Amino acid sequence: MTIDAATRMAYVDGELDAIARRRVERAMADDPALAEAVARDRALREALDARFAPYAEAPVPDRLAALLDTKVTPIGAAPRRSRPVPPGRRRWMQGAAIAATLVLGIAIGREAGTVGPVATRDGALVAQGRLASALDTQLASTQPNDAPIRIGLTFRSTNGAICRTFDGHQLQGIACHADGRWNLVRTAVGERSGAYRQASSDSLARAAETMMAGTPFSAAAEIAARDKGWR
Amino acid sequence: MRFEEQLLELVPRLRRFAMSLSRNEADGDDLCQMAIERALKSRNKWQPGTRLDSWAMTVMRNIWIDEVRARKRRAETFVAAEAGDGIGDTGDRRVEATVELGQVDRALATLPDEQREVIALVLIEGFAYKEAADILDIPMGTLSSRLVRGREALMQALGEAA
Repeated sequence: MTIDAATRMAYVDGELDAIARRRVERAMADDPALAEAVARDRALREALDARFAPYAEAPVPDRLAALLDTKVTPIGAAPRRSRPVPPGRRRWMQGAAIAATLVLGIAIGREAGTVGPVATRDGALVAQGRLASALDTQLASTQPNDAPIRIGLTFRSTNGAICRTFDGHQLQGIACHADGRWNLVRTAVGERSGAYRQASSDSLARAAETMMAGTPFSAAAEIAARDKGWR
Repeated sequence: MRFEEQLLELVPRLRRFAMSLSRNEADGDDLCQMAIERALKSRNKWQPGTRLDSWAMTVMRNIWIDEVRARKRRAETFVAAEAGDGIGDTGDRRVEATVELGQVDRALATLPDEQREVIALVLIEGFAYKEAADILDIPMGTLSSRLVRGREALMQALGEAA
């Protein structure tokens, strides 16, 4: 009896029941060419496995683990906003809350003699120095084009805090205001140019979108928020 | 166990799937990141009690298909020979097999996307036909015939390279 290619492969893939399996095995005993074809099918599976198994065995890269980091303290201190959530947004609010807790690994080059842009307070990463003052005072609508740190979007996050995206030479990220300081909820190492930078900008923009309640602040809303101390 | 923790456990497999769909590691990790982000965002579309791995793979596969289509629309052309270059986990395992691994990549790169995805799910991820057909939302017969054609094409490509 002849065994077609689909049946032979189903045999190799463990998809046949006991009776069909025995039928293939009997046919293999009579037909060396079939036995050889089965061996080739198995060798292909093994070659593919050898090629890709290392990924399944390797430690998860930090960049991916950070997306699912459940150990980082959420920035839950900010008051919940009271206006109702539009139904379309409700669906991904949980995801947004998680996104807000993300802290990607930071590798900050410290220039000799200057204070870095980041410090830790109570286990959270917070902005300091020039980054903190840019976040406190700089307006996207009036900042010079060549500002060392540029502010992107300002928005209210789904957990009520005001957050701003920023872009410095060394560091890009999203900072959210709570208890008088700017917590860094998401960062990427800034590079001056190239595809990597574009990729991290896109990824930050997506993260901001996920965190956002409503739409980004207008220029007027941004001024008003600054005048009220980013509360 | 929390959703994030369950998903985190799946990341190595998701990453392997991403690598087998993508043309290089950088694209694979980007795909993996997008899939994790989308899975977190649409987590309540997953029905607890059903398989999270199949669901997460579906999320990833749909993103990949969107990317592939977008790329085709941009009419970017790829040089086949380039596909396998610079790829390969050179880790400590099987360093001697580098040449062979490059061949597998080149052979995979010759497959049409619809064959590549069935090969990835069944032969690399080890999904049963039924599960793979569900993930791809295609009938079993279609899955089976793509598997046969994909395998034959791979064998031929590897045979030529040997």
